[in-house]
Amino acid sequence: MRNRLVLAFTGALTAALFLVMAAPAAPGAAQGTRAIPSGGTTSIQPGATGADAIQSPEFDPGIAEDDEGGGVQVNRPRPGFKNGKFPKNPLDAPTVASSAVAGSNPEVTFGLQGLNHRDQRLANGGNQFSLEPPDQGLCVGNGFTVEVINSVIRVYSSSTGSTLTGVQDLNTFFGYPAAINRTTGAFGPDVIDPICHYDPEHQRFVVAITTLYHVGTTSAFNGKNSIDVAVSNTGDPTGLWTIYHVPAQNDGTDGTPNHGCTLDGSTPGPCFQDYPHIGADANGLYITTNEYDLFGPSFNAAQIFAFSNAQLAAHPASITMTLVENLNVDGSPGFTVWPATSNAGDYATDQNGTEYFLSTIAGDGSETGNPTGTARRIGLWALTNTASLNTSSPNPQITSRLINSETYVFPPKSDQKVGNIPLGECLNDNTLFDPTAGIGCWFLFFNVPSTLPPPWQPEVESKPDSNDTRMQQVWYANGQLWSSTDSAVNVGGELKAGIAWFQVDPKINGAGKVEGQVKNQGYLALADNNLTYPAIAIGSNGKGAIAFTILGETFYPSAGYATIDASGSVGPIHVAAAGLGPDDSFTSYKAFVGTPPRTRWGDYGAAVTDGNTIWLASEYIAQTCTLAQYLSGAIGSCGGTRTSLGNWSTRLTKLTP
Amino acid sequence: MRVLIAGIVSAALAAIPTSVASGGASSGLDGKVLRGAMSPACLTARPCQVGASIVLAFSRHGTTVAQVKSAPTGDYRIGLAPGVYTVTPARRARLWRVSPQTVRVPVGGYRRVDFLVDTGIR
Repeated sequence: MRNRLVLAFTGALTAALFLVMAAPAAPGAAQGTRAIPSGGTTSIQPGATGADAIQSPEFDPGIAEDDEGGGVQVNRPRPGFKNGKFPKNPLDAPTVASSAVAGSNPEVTFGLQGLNHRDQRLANGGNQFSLEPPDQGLCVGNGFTVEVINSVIRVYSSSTGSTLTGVQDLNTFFGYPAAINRTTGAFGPDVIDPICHYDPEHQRFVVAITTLYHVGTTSAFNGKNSIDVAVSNTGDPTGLWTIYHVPAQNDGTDGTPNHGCTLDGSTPGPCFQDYPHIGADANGLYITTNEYDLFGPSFNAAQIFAFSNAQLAAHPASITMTLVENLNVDGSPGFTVWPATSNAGDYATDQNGTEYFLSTIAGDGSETGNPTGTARRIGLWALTNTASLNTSSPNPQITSRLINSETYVFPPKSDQKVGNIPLGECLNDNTLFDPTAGIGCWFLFFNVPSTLPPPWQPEVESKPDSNDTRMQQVWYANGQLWSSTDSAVNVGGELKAGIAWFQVDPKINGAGKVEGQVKNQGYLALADNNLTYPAIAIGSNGKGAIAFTILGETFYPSAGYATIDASGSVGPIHVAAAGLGPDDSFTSYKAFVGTPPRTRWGDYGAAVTDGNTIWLASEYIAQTCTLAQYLSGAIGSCGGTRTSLGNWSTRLTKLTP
Repeated sequence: MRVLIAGIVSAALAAIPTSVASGGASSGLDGKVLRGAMSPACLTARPCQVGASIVLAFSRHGTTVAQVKSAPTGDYRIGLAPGVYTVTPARRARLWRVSPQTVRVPVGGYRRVDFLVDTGIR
């Protein structure tokens, strides 16, 4: 009887909801649904591994410096400044006690070195460019672990960690020509920012990326871009997958809406979708993006690409995609509105199915309109009526609000323990080829510059990016949302990068709007060191872990974690895998990227559940070598541990908190 | 009211000299302004960050005292009295984050300082 009453009530409520939903959407919350045809099938079929060498073209000589952007006027309405939403002045970084470092890792079942720069660069017979940072995608289920990074994919056994496939480049996986054909010189699309999700209800793996297309086979972007979604046809990711290319330039072409992006602040141009992230509830799979001008100077707003889980699992000839457009919270554009991932069988069912999201309101300032780089509020979002994604007329509704939180502050760059930087040392060397003329190791990469010594000298050990304050991975467990962001912290008397984490208690009120408050929160910091790019996952038993990179005065970039439970109790810092040397990759050096260099790191880690087991993935450095070793044998490979232009790696850790 | 405020702000900014050359100043800054990232990942196939024409404002004690517009290549040079300055994009609507945010101008000379303006793209 009770069930029937509930069903009747639910039916009435649903009917009422559909009436409500017939009303026009609020400004800034438009949405549209369109059909996306299948782009065919694919599978992970690794090609040959390329040879160690400094190959040409590694750098594109045809690209000149940009001469647009900065000085132009922007005609798009800018963020509102509602009273009290942002701090009037920058907030001080919180003072935080240092965590202890645990002496052992009893929770860890095993760890393994994941994909690294060498895998990335040498995949597809070496028809790739060097690329940073890795951008960690990870999904686990049905006995498989899928790791996907910029710009390669691999499958492991989740029970043993053994590799089940080789390394495949993402250009080939998604059906595109190689990133660079080293025989013909033809460029393929840029296939970047990978993400991964396992749907436990349908036993499907989903990998998605942003693709930027080129003018013919040149290196120039043609303006078109897409969110590409690959879904495994079965629960076995080593088998067939089906691909869908979702046009995403949002300039009115190829069925996209026109979001008013520009080439120069006024001339219409394409948008593009940056920083895609993935989450799911019982009904839908959600990919959120940050939409910028592709060629112009502006940020637009976050977008949600919503799909039916059931439809994806069936991988039909055409799927339905609903775009929830131009998100805003309290008058400010949504920025990195990260969708929650849920544990199997544990979903929010309010309002005919609800997916929650979290965001911050600081970022780097240009997106949210917050000029301080600091905040003490976060954005709480809900997409309701997600069951409608399984109908012919999807009609999900977005609602959002700001809630109070602890302070978070734009973090400083991360220092790292001093060690060998053979690429940097090579760029500083003026003796290798002609000591009299001052032509040194750098000649491996560059022609002789107009002045000697070369203008980039001296190169120094870098300070990797610590991210900004954008929200990182969001997890939904037992009615609670968990997430974290990078934040400046005062720890041990120094300003360092640390982690601010949040446990949020969300709900949908009687008016169908999202409500909630922070139930628990805290910081994680380590004296003399930095903790960056956190990712959090909580099992259905209420036990979870936060993954991050540890680096600083006493640590080379290392893979770390801390356990966390439903009461908000955070354990000590564990070093899952100690870094072996400093980051020594091309974005660290003026010679390659200009002055000042900006060492790319992250841009995000990953943490996922598999039952009560947690899988973590973080960037770290798994090798070290001297300049002499760098120059011996295959140049730059240091015995097959790196390439000439990079030494980053990823670490996968399986643990049971 | 908003139009009025915008007008006042515009007039105030217009009153601040925008420098493209150092003139006869004996101290100041020079260098390059880069903008990046230009795409989500940094590929060796294309520049991660590029020279850009951007108007930077230099402030002391909360008051903007000078502006400079970098050339399309990113090169700039500005005469400034010795001291510590806060640097921001002059067009507040842009709100890009500039690094470094504070600079020191030495006594009796020019110091090279290169700026990176964060597009937020990752």
